[in-house]
Amino acid sequence: MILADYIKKHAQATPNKIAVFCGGQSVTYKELSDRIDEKSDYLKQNFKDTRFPIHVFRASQDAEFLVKYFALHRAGLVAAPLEKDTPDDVFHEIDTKLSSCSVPDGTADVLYTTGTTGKSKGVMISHRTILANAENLIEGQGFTEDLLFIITGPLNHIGSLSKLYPVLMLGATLAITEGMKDVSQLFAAMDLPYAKVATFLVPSAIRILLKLNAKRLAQYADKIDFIETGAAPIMQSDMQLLCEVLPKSRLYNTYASTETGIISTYNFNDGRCRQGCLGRPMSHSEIIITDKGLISCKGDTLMSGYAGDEALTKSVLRDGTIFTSDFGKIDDEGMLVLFGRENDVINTGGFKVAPTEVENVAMSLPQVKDCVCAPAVHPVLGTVIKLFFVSDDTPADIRAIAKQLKSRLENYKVPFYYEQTDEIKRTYNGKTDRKFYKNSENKVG
Amino acid sequence: MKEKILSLLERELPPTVDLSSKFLFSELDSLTITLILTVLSDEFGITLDSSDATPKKFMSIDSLTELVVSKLKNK
Repeated sequence: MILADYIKKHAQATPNKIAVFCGGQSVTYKELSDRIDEKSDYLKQNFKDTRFPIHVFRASQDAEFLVKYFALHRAGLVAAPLEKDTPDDVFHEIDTKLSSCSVPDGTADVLYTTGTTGKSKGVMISHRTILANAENLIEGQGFTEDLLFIITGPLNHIGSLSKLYPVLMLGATLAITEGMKDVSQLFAAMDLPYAKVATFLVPSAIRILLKLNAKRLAQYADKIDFIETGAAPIMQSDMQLLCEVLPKSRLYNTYASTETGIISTYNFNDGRCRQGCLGRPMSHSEIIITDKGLISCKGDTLMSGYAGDEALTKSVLRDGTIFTSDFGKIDDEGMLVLFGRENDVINTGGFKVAPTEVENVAMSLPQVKDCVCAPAVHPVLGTVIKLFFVSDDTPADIRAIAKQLKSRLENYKVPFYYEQTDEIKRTYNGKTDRKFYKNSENKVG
Repeated sequence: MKEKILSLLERELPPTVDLSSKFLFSELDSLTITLILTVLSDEFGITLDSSDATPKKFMSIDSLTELVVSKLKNK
């Protein structure tokens, strides 16, 4: 059984129940299932060569995404949703690579991420993994069939995509918003006639709510069953404030990644509000701490590998175990506590960015002679990306550089701060001295 | 006032944002909108929240200036 089969099952049992609200419209389970069937039939007729089954598309933020995503699954094909603002050349590069890529039987998705290895690559997710993630979330966070779950993040990202799994497995209801740009959409979804609502918010989205909308959020305190956060570290002060604003809600901090799936979760509204604590492993998951203190994970939620890259797969997935770059420990209560990351990946707004990817694009610009990309702390936004660069132009046109980067990178990869410098510091063997730039006083641009 | 807001936002926003845009709202994401609301609140001592983040009020520097002026009047 795959997740699309659950939608069909609910369409038969509760045909008129709303499956999804979006943009003022609602779609029942029967309507959703019928649309998936129709699209699936079309795909089966037009894409008969299943040796190369991956279909790359930009993820829209609406019911049509569900139709396309589940129709691909039902047709025995593989969904590869990309960020909606993916530049054309990046899209074509990925499409070309994946169009000749074969995948193991049972593969459902190829999700693009930076994640564990620090390089952008396609993570293969199986149908079995999707169902295991669904069951982990249902058991671990108490999803129920009378819940309205509000999607606020991009549907190609595991944080939001994984919430479709428990909701549709149970026959509960989704409300899809276009994101946090218009926060009124989130509150409009909370106003829908449901007794219990829940949502997933990355830490920067929680910051937006607490900074500008704390009073309004508090008005929904009786209705918000739970909020989950994850994908990036959340500040202790934000955790405490959220507990004060929503004293009755469960507030989860989750350990998950595209590669590992949903592993553990901790309700920090437990009177202790422990920072860095990510709870006990869920029923389909196991956590082992390596001798170096790094987190490794086992279980049914793990990826099958990286599409078309066996060597990269072997570097993180061996003997059914994923070896992450996250430092952590299991405490006396059996809970996972996270310390930080081993590699140079920058986590900004819940998105992981490999600095080398940004640097490679920056180095291709005629104005940039040398550069390094580093994390910087913004007083409101948290971790942002900063580009230190060397240029013959004095001063260089920073706005022009930023715009060229924006045309060639997804938005979240474009640096926020820029600093022109005389040289890029290197270590004795010629490598960029990333430690220097990580630790430098780069709090303001 | 307009020049002050322009100079403030030029300093605080990422350089990818074109502040001369005729439809500024389309240039912004959720974080930059939050940033603008926060920066203007702090600088002028006014209360702004997400209900102020409408496409009309964020159309241009002129409309943002009108927003600040009206909030100052009602302070």
